[in-house]
This record gives sequence, C-alpha cells and structure tokens, in this order.
Amino acid sequence: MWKYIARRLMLALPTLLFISLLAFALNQCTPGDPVAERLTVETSRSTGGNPADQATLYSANYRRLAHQLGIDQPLFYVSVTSLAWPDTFHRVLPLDERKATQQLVARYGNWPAIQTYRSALQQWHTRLLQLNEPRAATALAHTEQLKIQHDPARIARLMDSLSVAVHQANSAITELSGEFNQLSYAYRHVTEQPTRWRHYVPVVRWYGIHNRYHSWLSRVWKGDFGNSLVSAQEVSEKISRALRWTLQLNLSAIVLAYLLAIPLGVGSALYAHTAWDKWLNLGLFFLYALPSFWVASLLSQFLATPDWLNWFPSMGVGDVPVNATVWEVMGIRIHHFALPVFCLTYGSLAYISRQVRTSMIKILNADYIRTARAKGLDNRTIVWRHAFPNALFPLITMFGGLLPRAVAGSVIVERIFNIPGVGNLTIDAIYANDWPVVYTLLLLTAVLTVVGILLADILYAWADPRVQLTKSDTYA
Amino acid sequence: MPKFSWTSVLIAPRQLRERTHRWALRVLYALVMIALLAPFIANDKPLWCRYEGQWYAPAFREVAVQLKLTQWPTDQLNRRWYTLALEQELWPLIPFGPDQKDLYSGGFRAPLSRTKGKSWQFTHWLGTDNLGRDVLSGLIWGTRVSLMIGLGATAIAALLGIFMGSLAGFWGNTGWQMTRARFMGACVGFTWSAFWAFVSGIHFAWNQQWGIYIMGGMLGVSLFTWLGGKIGAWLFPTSRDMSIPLDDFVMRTIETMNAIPGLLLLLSIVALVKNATLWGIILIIGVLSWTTIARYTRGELMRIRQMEYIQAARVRGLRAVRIVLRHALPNAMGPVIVSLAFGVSGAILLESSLSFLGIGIPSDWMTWGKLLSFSRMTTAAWWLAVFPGLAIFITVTAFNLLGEAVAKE
Repeated sequence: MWKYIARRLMLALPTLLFISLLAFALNQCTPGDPVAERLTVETSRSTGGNPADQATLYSANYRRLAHQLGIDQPLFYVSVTSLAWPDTFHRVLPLDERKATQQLVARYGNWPAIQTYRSALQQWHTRLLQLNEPRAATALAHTEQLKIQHDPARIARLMDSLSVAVHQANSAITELSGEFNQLSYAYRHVTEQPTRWRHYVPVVRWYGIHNRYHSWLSRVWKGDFGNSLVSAQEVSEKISRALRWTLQLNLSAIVLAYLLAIPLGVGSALYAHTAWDKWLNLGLFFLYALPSFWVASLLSQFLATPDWLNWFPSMGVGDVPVNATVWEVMGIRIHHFALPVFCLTYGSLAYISRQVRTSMIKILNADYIRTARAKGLDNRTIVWRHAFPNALFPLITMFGGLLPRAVAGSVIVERIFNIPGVGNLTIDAIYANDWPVVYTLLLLTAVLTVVGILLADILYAWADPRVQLTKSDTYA
Repeated sequence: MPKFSWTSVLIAPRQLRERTHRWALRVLYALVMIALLAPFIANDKPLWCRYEGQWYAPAFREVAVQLKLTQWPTDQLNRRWYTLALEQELWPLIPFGPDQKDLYSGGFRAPLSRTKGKSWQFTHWLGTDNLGRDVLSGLIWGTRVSLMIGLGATAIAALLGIFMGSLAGFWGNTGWQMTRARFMGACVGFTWSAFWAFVSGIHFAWNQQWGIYIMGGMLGVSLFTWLGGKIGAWLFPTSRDMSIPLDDFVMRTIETMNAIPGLLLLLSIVALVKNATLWGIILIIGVLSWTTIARYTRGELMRIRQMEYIQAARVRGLRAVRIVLRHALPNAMGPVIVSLAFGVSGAILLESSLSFLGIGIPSDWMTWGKLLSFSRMTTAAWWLAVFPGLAIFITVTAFNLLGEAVAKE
C-alpha cells in the first residue's frame, strides 16, 4: 500500500510542476505594466520641482518598485537564447522600453550598438529635460515616443522632426546639437551594421535561483499570493472570504445530490426494465441535459421577482440581524440558498444515480449474488449487505472531482444569484483585469484537482487491493 | 459493432430504431439547415424587390459580399430597405436582422407585438431584447455560432484525440522501436530546428501572420527531426534498439490536462486574448477537450490490436500506419463517435456559458447565451429567459440523444 502511495505521489509531481509553470506563464502574459500601474497611485502626489528632477525621481521609484516585484530578474532558472541577446537583458527598464529594445535586437541583432543608441537617447532626453525650455515641448514629446518605438519608418520620421527642431534657425535647443548628432550617429550605426547571424548561434545560460519563477513559487509556497490590483487587498484574504460562501453552497449541493441519488439509483436498478424505471431514466436524462444556467435564469425570473411569484429572495446571501438565534440564521440562509443549491444539485443527481444504477445492475447479475440467493439469504441482506457496498466502487472515482467542484463548481450559478463566492469573484476579477486573483484561483483549483484525483486513487486502491498489483495505473 | 464507413455519417432518420433518436436526428438536420440558410430566413433585407423601376436581390447580394465575391454599389451600402416604399417585394420569413434595432417601438417588446412595419409579417414573434432586436432572428443567427463552435471545436478535438489515442492504444509502450542512434539524431534535429524556427526566426514573424509562421515552423521542425534521425542512423548503423513509451507519454499528458479546470482556464485564456476571433475560441475549446476522445480511442485500439485479423495484417507485412488507418480505426469508431456527440454538446454549453458571461465571444455575433443574459437586465422580459435557453436545451439534448443512438445501434 505505502509503495503504491509513494508511486502515485511521484506521478503527481510532474503534473503539479506543469500546473505551476502554466499559472506562472499565463501570469507573465498579462497585458499592461504592473509597475507603472502601481506607481501612478503612489506618485500622483509628488508634484512640483524641476522636470528633470521629477523624471529622475520617477525612474528611481520605478526601478525600486520593479526590483521589489522582481521584474528585473531573469524569467527562469535557465534560458535558451541566441548570441544576439545579452545575458542581462532582463535588467532593461522600464517595461515599454524593454519591449521596444527587444524588437530592435530581434531586427538587427547588434546589442552593443543598440546599447550605445539607448544611452545616447537617454543622454539626449536628460539634457532636454534639464533645459526646461517651454518651446521644446514638441521635441520632448517626440523623444518620449522615440524611446518606445521600434518601427524603422516611425523612428526615421521622429529623428527627422528632431533634427529640424535642433538645426532650424533661432532654435531653442541649438546648444544640444552635439548630443543630437551623437544620437543620430548611434542610430545609424544600429541600422547600418546589423549582425543578424548572431541569432543563429544558440546560447544556454544558467541563472541560478535568483529568477522570477523561483521567487514566485517560494512566495506561493508560503501562502503569499500577492495583492489584488483593484483593491490592494491580499489575494488570499479575498479568496478565503469568498470561499466561505462557495463551500457552504457546493457542499450542501453535493451532500444533497448523493443522499438523493444513491437510493434512486439502487431503486431503479432493483426495478430495472419496468415502466417506472424507464420513465425515471428518461426524466434523469433530460434533467442531465438541462443547462444549469438556463434553469437558474428561469428560477430567478419566475420564482424570485415581484412580477411573478416572489417566493425566494433573488440577491445574495441575506442579512442576519445581530442578535439572531442559530435557527433564525439557518432559516435565512436556507431561504437564500434554496434555488442555487437546487440548480447545482439536479445535474449531478442525474449523473450519480445513473452511475449507481449501471453498476448495481451489473453486480446483481454477478455469480456471487446468485450464490447468495441460492443459499437462501433474504432479499434485503443480499441487496444491502452484498451488492450495495460493491456498487459504490465507481463512486470512489468520482470523489476525485469533488474537491475542485466544491471550490469552482458554481461560477455561473453564483453569478446569477449574486452570491459573493469564488465564482463571482473570478468573473469580477476577469472583468477588472485583476490577474493575481484570476491566476491564484486557477492554481488553487488545479492543485485541488490533482489532490482529489490522488485521494480517489488511494481510496480505490485501499478498497480494491487488486489495483495495486497492476504495473501501470491507467484509470482510463 | 458494424463496420464504420464515412457515408454512414449522413443517415436518414428512418434508419434509426427508436422514435426519440429519429426525432433527434431530424432536429439536428433542421438546425444545420437553419444555420446554413440564416441569411435567407431572417434578414432585414428583402430577398427580392423592385425599387424605382429597378430589380434588386439584397439578401443574396449581402451573402455574396460576405463571401467577398462582390461589393455593394456605393448607393446601396447603407440603404435601409425596410424603410423604403418598394414597388414589389418578397421578404424572408423573419424580416429582421439579428443586429437590427427596432427604432420605432424601443426595447423589450413582448412576443407577438407588431412593429410599425408593412404587414403582419413584421411581427416580433418572440419579442425583442433591450435594444429592440428581434429575438427569433437572434436565435436563428445564433444557431450558426453554436453549431460552428460545437462542430468546429469537436472536429479539432477529434483530430487531436484520435491521433493521440491511436499512438497510445495501438503502439503502446513497446510498439514503436528505433535504434538509439536514430532517436538521438531525431532529438538533436528537433532541438536545433525548433531553436532556429521559434527562437532565432522570431523576427520573421513581424508582419503578424502568426498562423502561417507557426505552421511553416512546425513543418520545418518535423522535416529536420526526420532528417536528424536519418543522419543518426546512417552514422551509427550498429546501434541498439530502444522503444518509445508513447502510452506513458500520452497518458501523463491526459492526466495533466484533466487536472486543469476547463472553464477557469478557458475564461482566463480568453480574457487575455483581446479581440479574440471566433476561430480562436474554436481552437482553444478544441485543444482543451481532446482528452476524452483520446481515452476512448486508446481503449478501443488496445482491445482491437490483440485481435486476430490485426495479427494477420501484421504477418502480411502491412505497414503499421496503414493497419491503423484502414483496419483498426474504422472498427474503433463506435465508442469514439459517442464521445464526439457528447463533445459537441459540451462545446455548445461552454460557448453559451462564455457568451452568457460576456467573455470572449466577439461582440458582432449574436448568440443564444448572449440573448439569455439580456434577461437579467429586467424582470419583465420572461421571453428572454425562456426561448434562448430552450434553443440551447433542444440542441444539447439532440446531440446527447444521437450519442445514445450510436451507442445502442
């Protein structure tokens, strides 16, 4: 048994690794600059002073925050790139300039020249800011555009307009012509001497544990999922608050489904192929096909509005008075949960009872049941002592799905009935581009699924020791 | 299980034994026809009309324009045909487009309400939504999206699933053998060409034609992998054999895919992709849902590969690929088609959920889920809660029943 458990655990490791990589990768693909988004809130107060000083302050703040968030670290332990990329490319900041520089490197492949160009551009920008000349506002705007531009035609146009601004008669910025000449010389160097062959030489670099994936994973391991981008709350706090309602909702639905489905399944197996069984089967089939979000819409339309029958509250989980007794609280909750729990129950009810029916029929035809009948046991003992426990075996495999369903099984139903649970949180987070919340939920649910499948397998092996003997465990 | 043939995909309903199954098939065919003919069933342009002494066929012209066969003449580009005093006219059955707002009567008109139109034909049989768009027309055009996503995603899932399932089921862990030198050569070829195609070559993809770029890259990579294997085998002809554990590989992949919550992953991917197209959604749903089909194919092929006629084919020296395609797969199709039918209804449900939540499905397509979600704007519009959901339910049930029919017959 222990050997089996150890082997299953070993098999689950690569899956967990893949899930963590997927959540991390999706997190990296999110649009927007996380540093700039946080910085706008932080530095909106610091106004006044020389624009050059302001810019220096902003970039210092940016670098500090980027360092805190680990944006200036390499992505992963190891990187496979080409000779065209320097091993310190991840230090290029801010992020929009990094993107433009990336395109330049991809196009020309001559990092030293690009680096010279970038520092010339920075030098030019700083001098322009130091001049603090109101007439140079256009030149300044064009310079800022130049920093995040990578398209050759656009860069050429911006360069031309800057050149005109510098060299025209009675220009406000004539004294910067030296810096500008350096800049345009550096850019010409980039475009005229590309080294594209460097792209075709592979380079494998090892960065060690100071990388973004490692620090993200170790933070997640400690239970720190970061802060929500919308409300600056901790993600774990937000989720645990929502989890309370979702767990109540889903667990009651699951328990109810099993309590109803097992007797139904056994009953229809005992009366198999009678008219009663046929009708029940048909009913369950249609119940299974009914989309829960349609049923939920219908119920909230017809049973929870003043226009029709106003039997149930349509919104939320209800307010509980301060000095309410336990029974009153339960009454309010049941009143609010009745419709959503119904919507979550009927589908799995149909599925589970069909499963129980199939396996019960198979077992009632088995040889050992015939033996039991032959030796004269009464029907009740046969059904409940001999057949029923064995008919529950397929249900063990379904246990694997229960854990993730308890957490993320009610996205749309929660949405329709306005229950402030995990599902509603997910949708709100997606609408608001609150990526830390979205990917934490994804990670959490995926890990719970792995754990659930693992538990189900171990439970199955414990209940049916034959499983441990098969060499490769393929529960297909 | 009778031998599968591709012509048997199009069965006449009367060939099915049970009445419910016959009806399911009829409903399916009707849905396909509605989806194909939507522009001629529900359109705000007449099929045929005479205006200022000229004959026009605007509905047909619209289809031709959408197929990029022709263009609108400039004077007809924004013409609102239903406002014109036409001399002679023949309208589609439902003379409303899915996006056409009823400006006269406003939103949330109850079923059977007449619009200030020309005749009794201009009745909103199933009412209108918040902007005064006709619900019946929306349902008819929504059939297109549902069937496109259901069938398209399942087609992709079937290709992937049957391929992976055959690899795992027919070849297993020991069926595919090659010399170590060939394997190493293929590995080197794969790594090297993948690097050149997708790391160094990334600057070829500037013009944003990612589809062509990725396809070409994959073609190149497979070519180089094959070539690398050849060179390896040629360099070390006496190398020992090894077997590729295809079954383990496929099963671990399936296990990993199953561990990821489908709806959540779909939601988070789709939310990332701004301006997703319908084809993108189809691709994502297809790639996420091949595992069930692969498992069924694998199970069937594991059973079939033990059979005597496969042994006989092997003894005759037929190539393995030919045995799989011509002899093994056609006999494995029964259970696979059952899973395909359930796959279609699953994909349709997924699409409806997405558009119900308003995430991912491009806004210029009218869908059933979207119509259903409008019912949450007001408590008075019961028709928005009933009819779109009924359409989803009927379609899903038809596909489920068909799956059952294949399983039974």
